[in-house]
Amino acid sequence: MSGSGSSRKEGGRSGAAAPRAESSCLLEHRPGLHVRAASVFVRTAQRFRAEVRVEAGGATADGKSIMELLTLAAVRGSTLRIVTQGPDAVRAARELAELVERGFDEDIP
Amino acid sequence: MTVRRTGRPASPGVGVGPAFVVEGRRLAVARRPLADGAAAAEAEAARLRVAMAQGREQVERARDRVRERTHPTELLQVIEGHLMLLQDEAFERAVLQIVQEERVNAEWAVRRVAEEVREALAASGDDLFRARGDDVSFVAERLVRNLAGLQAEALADLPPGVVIVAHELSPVEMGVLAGRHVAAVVTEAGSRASHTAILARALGLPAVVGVQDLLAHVVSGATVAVDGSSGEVVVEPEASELPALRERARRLGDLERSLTVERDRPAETRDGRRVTLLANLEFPSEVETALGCGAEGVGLYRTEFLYVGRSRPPSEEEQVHIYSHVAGLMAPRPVTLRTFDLGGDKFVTRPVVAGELNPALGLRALRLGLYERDVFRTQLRAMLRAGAAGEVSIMFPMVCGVGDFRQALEVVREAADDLRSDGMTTGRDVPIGCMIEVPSAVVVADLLARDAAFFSLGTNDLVQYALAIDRANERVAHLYQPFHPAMLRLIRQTVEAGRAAGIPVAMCGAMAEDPLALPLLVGLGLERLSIAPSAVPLVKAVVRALRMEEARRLALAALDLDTADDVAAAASGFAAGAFPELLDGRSCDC
Repeated sequence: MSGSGSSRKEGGRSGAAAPRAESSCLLEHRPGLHVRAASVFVRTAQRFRAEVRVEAGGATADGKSIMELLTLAAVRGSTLRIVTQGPDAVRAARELAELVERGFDEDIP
Repeated sequence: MTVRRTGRPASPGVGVGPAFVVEGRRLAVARRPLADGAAAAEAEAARLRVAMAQGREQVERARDRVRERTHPTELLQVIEGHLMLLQDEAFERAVLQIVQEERVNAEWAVRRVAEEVREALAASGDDLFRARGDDVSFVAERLVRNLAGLQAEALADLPPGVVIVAHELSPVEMGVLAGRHVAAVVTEAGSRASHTAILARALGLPAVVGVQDLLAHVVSGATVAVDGSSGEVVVEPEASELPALRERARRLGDLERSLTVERDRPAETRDGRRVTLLANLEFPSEVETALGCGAEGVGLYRTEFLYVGRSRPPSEEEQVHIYSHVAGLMAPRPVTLRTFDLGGDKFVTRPVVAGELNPALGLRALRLGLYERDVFRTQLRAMLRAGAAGEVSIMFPMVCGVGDFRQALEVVREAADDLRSDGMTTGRDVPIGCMIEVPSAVVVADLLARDAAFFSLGTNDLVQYALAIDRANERVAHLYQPFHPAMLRLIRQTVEAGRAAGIPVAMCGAMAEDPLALPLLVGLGLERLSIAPSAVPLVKAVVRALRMEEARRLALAALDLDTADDVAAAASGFAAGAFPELLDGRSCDC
């Protein structure tokens, strides 16, 4: 939770030379990307130094901002494209897509 | 004047007390143009930051209260979401942009941003999403109150023993109630699945939600009685009915407390016969509730929720994740996973049967599994893999006889072979048993017991099929009789077949939660009961009040009675003599 702002800037500062990765996943989670799921996603995204963008239905959001993720209004059945850039971009893209496919670890502490 | 309303029972118990009305959350907000110059906009930005910081403190306090008292993980994640919004740069930017471009006050801008988000979510056209989209509004209203310098937490300063009456309560507001002396909660909005309901149950607060047209008839201080088991709400009850209501609230409260004290004692009759109490669960979040109620394992884990209302069946990985999680949390206690018990009309990949004339007798449960063999095999693979995480067993719903049971076992074998050739671990041998809920299965129970590792009696369906009664049909619903002498004989025959073969027999229907039925069931020799977690304390208290010999005599006598009414009368008479103090709790919601 803490230090969200700084990790975001680090991801951004890593520049064009930083590794870039992307992944796609199908949002099967029943309530879609609502506040609970989004909070879990953001908390996970904030663990990475890479910048995280999430695209759905033609819109794009900062994956470290719960506000932007919520306004994607991604419902069940949406395909999410996760684009990451930064030193740990590859791991971030993979782990975030897995998180979505696991249903945001519903009920798992 | 007395006003009576009925809503949805959300959390059991009865509460009577003075109303504490939570005002509608929306304050009137004026659009106030800012003075010219950068300084005015800067001042609004500073006000916003202070309000956000106050909001974070308020939400953190609520989160900590919840965390100390209960573990509803999902709700904590929602509360964390509110906290994240209160420190979200994009949210702050969106508000400040409106402040600067339109030269308006922060309150107005906060409302605008919340409305834009709500519109975006409403446009998604998904009901569930729309309902949950209110979270941004909850956060916005908190900010508006903080900006107005109002005590945002009206609930922080509560007189003891009040009944909270509100249009709706946010998850954070429910968190504020954690650990306070509140008699009950009533809201106009909400369903049993709403956060208010879930948290009320976790906190043990009587609650009724979805009560229409209530706030217009209540002022703070008015006496309100709430029955969280029946859903009844009475505002200003007649003076003559108050003593009875208060007495019932007190008795239920005493009962609840005494049951909680008993939580860690074994479910054992006075003369030492041990009965294992397991929980019926559906969602992973219920595991902790079940453990908290004293359940010794999971006797029925329903998997239908994974299949209903989705575009494709759940993947093997998703299922492994969920089953392993439940098995791991419960370990070393046993967890019995039941393969999907669905009708063809609810199935995911395609509606396999359109408009069956008689769905209860149609392509459903195990029959559907054998028909949709690939989906069934995937589920079995996941269940076998979850065996590595804990003490997992698998059972099939609606087994009719040895033929279909063997076909199901064949699919298990295929799944196990596949897993081996894929080099996957399956843990130890996973016991496979059958639900006994079709009369034909009882008739051939001795044959089934040769292949099955255990039986589990499903009384809800067994009553329906044995007595040919459709409970949903109002004209015959009164003939749905668990106390029918035929039921007692079917149960006895199943127990005896299991005993002869040396395999355990459990019961996982509603009958096992009924204090009146329990002496009969224990007397018939059932030693494992799987029930709703909330029913565990009461069922345990009933078991601890019994003597095995007396229960056996009651069961023997009941097997000779002629009608369901005769059996019910004998059971009531016995209960009134053996545990009169426990009978008031029988409406305990599950």
